[in-house]
Amino acid sequence: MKLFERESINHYSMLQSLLLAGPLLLLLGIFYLYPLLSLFPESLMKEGHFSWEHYQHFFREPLYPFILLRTIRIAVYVTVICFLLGYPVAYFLANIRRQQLATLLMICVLLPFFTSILVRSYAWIVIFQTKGLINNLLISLGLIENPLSILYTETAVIIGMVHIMMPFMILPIYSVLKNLDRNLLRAARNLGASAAKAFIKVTFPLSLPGVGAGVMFTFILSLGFFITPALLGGPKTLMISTLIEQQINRLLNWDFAGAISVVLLLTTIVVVAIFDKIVGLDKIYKE
Amino acid sequence: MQAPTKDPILRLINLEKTFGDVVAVADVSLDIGDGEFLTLLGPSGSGKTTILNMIAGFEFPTSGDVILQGQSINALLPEKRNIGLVFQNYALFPHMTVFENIAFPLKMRKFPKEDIQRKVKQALELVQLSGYETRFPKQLSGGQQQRIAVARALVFDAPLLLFDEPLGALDKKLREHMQLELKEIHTQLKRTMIYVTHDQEEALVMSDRIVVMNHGRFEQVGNPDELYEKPANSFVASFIGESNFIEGTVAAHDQRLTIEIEGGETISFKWSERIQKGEAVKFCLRPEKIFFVADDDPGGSVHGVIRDVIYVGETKRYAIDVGRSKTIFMRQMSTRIGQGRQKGEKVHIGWHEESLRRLSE
Amino acid sequence: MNYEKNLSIGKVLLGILTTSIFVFLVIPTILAVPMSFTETRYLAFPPEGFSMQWHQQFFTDRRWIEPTIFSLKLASITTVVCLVIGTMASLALVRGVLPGKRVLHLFFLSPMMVPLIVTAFAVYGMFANFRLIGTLTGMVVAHTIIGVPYAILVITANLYRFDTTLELAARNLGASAFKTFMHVTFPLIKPGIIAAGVFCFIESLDELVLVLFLIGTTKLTLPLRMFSEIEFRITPTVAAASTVFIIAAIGTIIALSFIERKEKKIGLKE
Repeated sequence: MKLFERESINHYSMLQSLLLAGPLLLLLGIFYLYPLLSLFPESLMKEGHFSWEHYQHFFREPLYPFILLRTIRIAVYVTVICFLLGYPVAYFLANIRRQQLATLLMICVLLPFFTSILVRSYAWIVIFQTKGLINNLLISLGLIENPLSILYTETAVIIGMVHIMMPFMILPIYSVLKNLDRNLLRAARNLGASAAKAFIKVTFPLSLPGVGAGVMFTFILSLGFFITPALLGGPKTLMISTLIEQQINRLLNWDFAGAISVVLLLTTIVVVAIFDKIVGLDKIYKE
Repeated sequence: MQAPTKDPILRLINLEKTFGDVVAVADVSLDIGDGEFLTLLGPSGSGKTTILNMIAGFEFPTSGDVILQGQSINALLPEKRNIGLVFQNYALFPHMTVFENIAFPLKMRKFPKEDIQRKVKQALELVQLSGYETRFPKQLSGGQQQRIAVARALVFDAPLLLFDEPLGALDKKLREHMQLELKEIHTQLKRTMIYVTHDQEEALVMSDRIVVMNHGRFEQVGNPDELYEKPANSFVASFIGESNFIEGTVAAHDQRLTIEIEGGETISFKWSERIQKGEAVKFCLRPEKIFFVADDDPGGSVHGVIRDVIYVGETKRYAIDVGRSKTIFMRQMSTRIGQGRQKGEKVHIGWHEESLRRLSE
Repeated sequence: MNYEKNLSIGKVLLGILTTSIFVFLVIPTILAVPMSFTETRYLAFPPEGFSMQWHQQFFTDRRWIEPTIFSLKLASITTVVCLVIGTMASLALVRGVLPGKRVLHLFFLSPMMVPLIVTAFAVYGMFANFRLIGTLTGMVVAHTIIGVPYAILVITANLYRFDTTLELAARNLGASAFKTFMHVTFPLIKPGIIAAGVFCFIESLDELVLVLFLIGTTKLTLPLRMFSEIEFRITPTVAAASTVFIIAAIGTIIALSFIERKEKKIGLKE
């Protein structure tokens, strides 16, 4: 279509569209796309000339790939747990009849979503620390003698991240389930399916776009997450994001940090591409 | 092109609209007279809504001209055309009250406040919804919403009003009632109205003239009587009302015309105009023009067996098998007591020669 | 009868599971509130005694007030910029013609996917070039980049659902394209825009990672202040600050539910 033509009276011509989207394009182009793309060539330089050294350093030292794998592992754990716990919650929410209860429970899901991640992670510190909630409880119940060191372990990070990510898993699934045509379920039951069968064969498959969205968001956010691993994981349970921060702020290895960032970015892109193949990104953001 | 009785208020001249390869409207021309109620009638996709959109200014014609009150409006923006339009889904602004909806066009034309008050009140009276000013569209029934949409289109005294299948979403009784109401408004206000519908009964009830459309073309233009009694082709004959089609080749023509129809059978009936033997012919015959005759009546046309009797309240509809593969449908008023026949009966039916209409395609 | 009993057991189990999860979600979130009233100088749970001193400190100590004001300023400006740019871009995406629209749409949403730390790291160099490190402008730019995806998500959803015949009706009734937008389109997408604005505001207020990298040494935002306090010297004032956040979150939810109620009232939602 030519630059000035419009599809119909309601639509914008290409010229108008470019003007409308222009500011955002410029902003993202200069301050986002270009810097991100620059990461790649910059990571291949050492002291002014081309070098693979940063990547070699990353993959040769056993510590770094281990951290990458740990990050992926934790992300998988978090995603799976969020899915197993979050789907029932979304299902429950989507099927409640009583309006007030539904609103109340919705608040319970949205409250963590809108509360600063910092505040929530901090609460987990209080819960997990040696003189914290859990230890005090267990000691006063006489179940243990010495306080457990939960803080600064992988478990703490996983639990903390599950807490942060749950709303991201629950909301997309809830949204899809809520808009399901009730007649489809009734038809299945009428045609002879039990409640369980109807769920497995009708409800669950139809909820997959929401599941796809939730799983993708949760996994990808978990990969690159910083605040919670930083506060709850400590230096002994480094993840990729805290590793990058460590390299930058404490060790001042900017170039190396750049290479690690590229590795993280590429991992993220690969994951998104896989999700696109499986679920199809269009369905997710058109909802 | 039909010549209306007065100076045309709207002229469509060689109007054409294509979307890529698809021809939505193919080179149509029409003059519409001041004060006329004209209906564009046709099945979905026939192009009638596209024509409406071109008159209203939402679509730009691929070629051709639209002339309103002597001026070409092709280049005019929709907001400058001053044409009333009632949408199929009413398009009432949900965030405005009934009053604000109706006042909207007046506000756009910068009418003074008192005039707005007065005119909105008048408009509501016209559609019999006085007192509904402060309601929101969501609080109204379908029929009420429709009437508010009409009021909104009328309030700014546009010289031309367009209706895009406005009654489609209403149930039958309400629809019939609204048809009469709209017709009443037309008679009262004497404004030119162009009405789009796929319901042929609606068109027959309301219109001064009807344009039957199919695949972007005008099949026939005329008043309801003409279109019903003298359809120009098979499409019009079957789209408006119901028709029996008698189609075949002439086998013989002495006193009566004998036609060999599909399946090798023959039908013969009285037909004055001479036709050559072997010529292909097609006739259409309305079901209500057929009547029963005595078995040996020489004026009758065909013998047959009643396959089915459907009772439709005021009429009875008979499906009469007149051969192995031909069925003729007949309608008879139910008031003719004692003249009804049963399923399975053997009957002799006939019709007047004037009831038959020969079609060219 | 057996069949119905099984059904109830399933439902009961579901109820128990979901209730526990709800508790799991809510308790840690609001934990900071009771803690902020403790008398002790350190964080204690359960809180010992009752004291308003930490809240007082939060509202009077300059070292807390300044970052808070800066955060509010930053969030407000970011929200306005996000909404303006985001609405324009959404209009172009839904109603316009753009080369590679699908890719462009994904590109606009991508800042949500890219790990914040990578973005922060990459952007640092560009910011340094433009001398934006540690400036309000710089932070607005950074927060806009990650805030606009939310705006676009919400506003495009609203636009896709929009009944365009309403705009056609307005044009037919005499409104110019601009007037149509002001009187019909904008009022009807306003709830969506407000919701998007709320998201953007909270995102900016809470944001820590980008701030950590790009704020330089002269200024502080509230999350950054809290973060440093947590790292070095935890006093219950942090809990008091957290309480403010939690109240803001509750306020947000209430505001959003009002918007949804209004949408339902005029029939935009079922």
